[in-house]
Amino acid sequence: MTFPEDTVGEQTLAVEETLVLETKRGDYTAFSGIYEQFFDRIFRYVKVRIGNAAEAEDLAADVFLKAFEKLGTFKAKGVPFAAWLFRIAHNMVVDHLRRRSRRPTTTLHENLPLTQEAPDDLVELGLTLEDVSVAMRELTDSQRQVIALRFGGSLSIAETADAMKKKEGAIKALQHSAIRALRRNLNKLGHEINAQEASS
Amino acid sequence: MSPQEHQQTLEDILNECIDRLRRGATVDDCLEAYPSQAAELRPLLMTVWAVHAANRGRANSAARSTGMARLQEAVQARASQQHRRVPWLIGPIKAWAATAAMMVVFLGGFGVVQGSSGTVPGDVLYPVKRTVERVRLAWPLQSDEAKAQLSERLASRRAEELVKVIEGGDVAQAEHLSERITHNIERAVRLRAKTEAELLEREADLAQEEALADFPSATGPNGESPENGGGVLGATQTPEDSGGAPGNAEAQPGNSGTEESLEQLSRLAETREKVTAHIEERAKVLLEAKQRLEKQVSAQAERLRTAAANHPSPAVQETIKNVSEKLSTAYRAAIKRIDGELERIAKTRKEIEEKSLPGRGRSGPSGQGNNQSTDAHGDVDPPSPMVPVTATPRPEPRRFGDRQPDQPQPIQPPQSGSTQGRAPSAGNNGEAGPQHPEEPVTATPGVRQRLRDRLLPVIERAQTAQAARQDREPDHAGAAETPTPEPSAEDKARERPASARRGGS
Repeated sequence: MTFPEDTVGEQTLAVEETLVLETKRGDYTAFSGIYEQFFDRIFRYVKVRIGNAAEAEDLAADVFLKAFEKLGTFKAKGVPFAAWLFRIAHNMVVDHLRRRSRRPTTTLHENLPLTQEAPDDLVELGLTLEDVSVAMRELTDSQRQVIALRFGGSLSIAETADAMKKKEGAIKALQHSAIRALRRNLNKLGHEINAQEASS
Repeated sequence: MSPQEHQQTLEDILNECIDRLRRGATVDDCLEAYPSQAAELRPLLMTVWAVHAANRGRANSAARSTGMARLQEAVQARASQQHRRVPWLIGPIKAWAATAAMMVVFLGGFGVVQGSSGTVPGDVLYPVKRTVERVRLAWPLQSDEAKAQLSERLASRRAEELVKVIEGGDVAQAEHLSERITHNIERAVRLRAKTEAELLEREADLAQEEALADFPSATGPNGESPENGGGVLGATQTPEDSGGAPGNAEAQPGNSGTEESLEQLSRLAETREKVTAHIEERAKVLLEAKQRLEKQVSAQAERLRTAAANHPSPAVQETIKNVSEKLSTAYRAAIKRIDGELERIAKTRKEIEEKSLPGRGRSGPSGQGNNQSTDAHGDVDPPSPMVPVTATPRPEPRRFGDRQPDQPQPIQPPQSGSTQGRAPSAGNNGEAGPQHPEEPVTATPGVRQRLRDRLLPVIERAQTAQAARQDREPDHAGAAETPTPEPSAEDKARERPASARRGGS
């Protein structure tokens, strides 16, 4: 069992910085490289936060437009680009959820089955994005944020710490408590994730 | 191990296992690595898997393409706007900069301002620097010249930043900064044009006062027409004109015209002095500005040459070359504009100096209108023995009809030797004014006092004589306001030769 989509590595950081620098120098087409590199991660982050894939696709595109507008404020010697980008995504998610809360409540229709790459025991659990979203509602905002950044955006602990402006130790503690709370909530929803089921 | 240490250890192990999963390990691999924590780790790691699995998958390709298309539109829009504004100082950044500036202003954040002074585009405090500059430029209590000089200093600052960003290879920012420099120089030129327009207005005022001093006014101090001698100093009659004996200034008394004339001369002199002072100051300022600009353009060219020589990139070197040419053109245009104004100022100054020379005109420094005033009346204005004149009077007889015998005579300041009753001052016949010919009219109280000393006794005698005559005979018909003796002064003047008139009073 691996995380096949996670491609974050040391070698990509130099690429990010290069692309950002080239964009700031006026080669705006370089930003398309940033888009390609981060779109799926931003999409997954947004999706786990708002629980809707269609809305997440639109919102992810908006995140890149916003990032393009604000790229001049990004300092290479400051926070890592990924952390900076996910801060934008976070702010836009918050705005989106605030706007959505004013509109009539929409029902989540996400019923994405787990793929074949998932462990058999989890496939048997029948977990969907909607289940995860419902379970995450009971978390604190910081817990939701750390779950989304770590497992949606695939950020490292350090990047997550930068994005949330916290210490790495605090992020680890927050991550632990968030996973425990999430498990507890999923159990409440009938998805018993315990040692016995997972042992297979 | 304390519970706290255990908790911290579990957080680290959980994180380690998550990282292992990222690198391709399995849950079982992690549990085997930490058998003593396996019971606690397993549900946590399975939950991680659940979230990951539920959230996995890529975005729809159509949505991805749509997002890319929107981004490309934004890119194209940005590229088209690049030459018009700073691409990255838009929207919220401007708001942030404005907020920062307000903080600086109201909280006295001089440290921030000081810290921003050495920043370059892209630095955090650079917007603060720019905003403070904008505030200084928009500050209302400063002259246009001060703003122009500030613009030049800003251009110099941008040039320093330009060299730094070029050294960093930031071509786009270098081109943008060169545009800012050009903009600042052009703004300085525009501001100087406004100052030049103000100076031109002052010169126009001076020319108007000179014209008023040299030509008869449309309506004299007592409502007389120019034909009646209503010039600036008033066309006065000599005592002979009014039937009095030479030296007996009992012709047309009334010193109001003379007073006004003196005022006019004083105003003219004061205006001339002010304009001259402004011109001198302006010339000095412009020369200094020209020297500064020449120094700036020379220093910038040198710095850019050095930067180009030290930079290995041909693209950057090409950019430096383009930027150098652009800046050189802007500076040359500004210096040329200053040269043009300096030439105009030199010409104006020369004209004023020529007008101020003694003997150039009866209006003293003005010297204008010699011929015009004579033509206007066509009469002869002999030099007054009391107030010397410089121009040679023309002995031509006065044109018939210039003044009818039955016309009321204006109240005129007395003078001697004038067949026309014209004051020996800066009037309309182009002769010297009441001042000494070698002593141009100035606004100094001494000159003005001498003028009064010379003229007022004559005025008083004329008033006394007129009052005595009015007691003896009734006013002439039609001369109710300004009694005119019979026969008129003009008639008498025509009957006497010019030489006799010169010897009057």
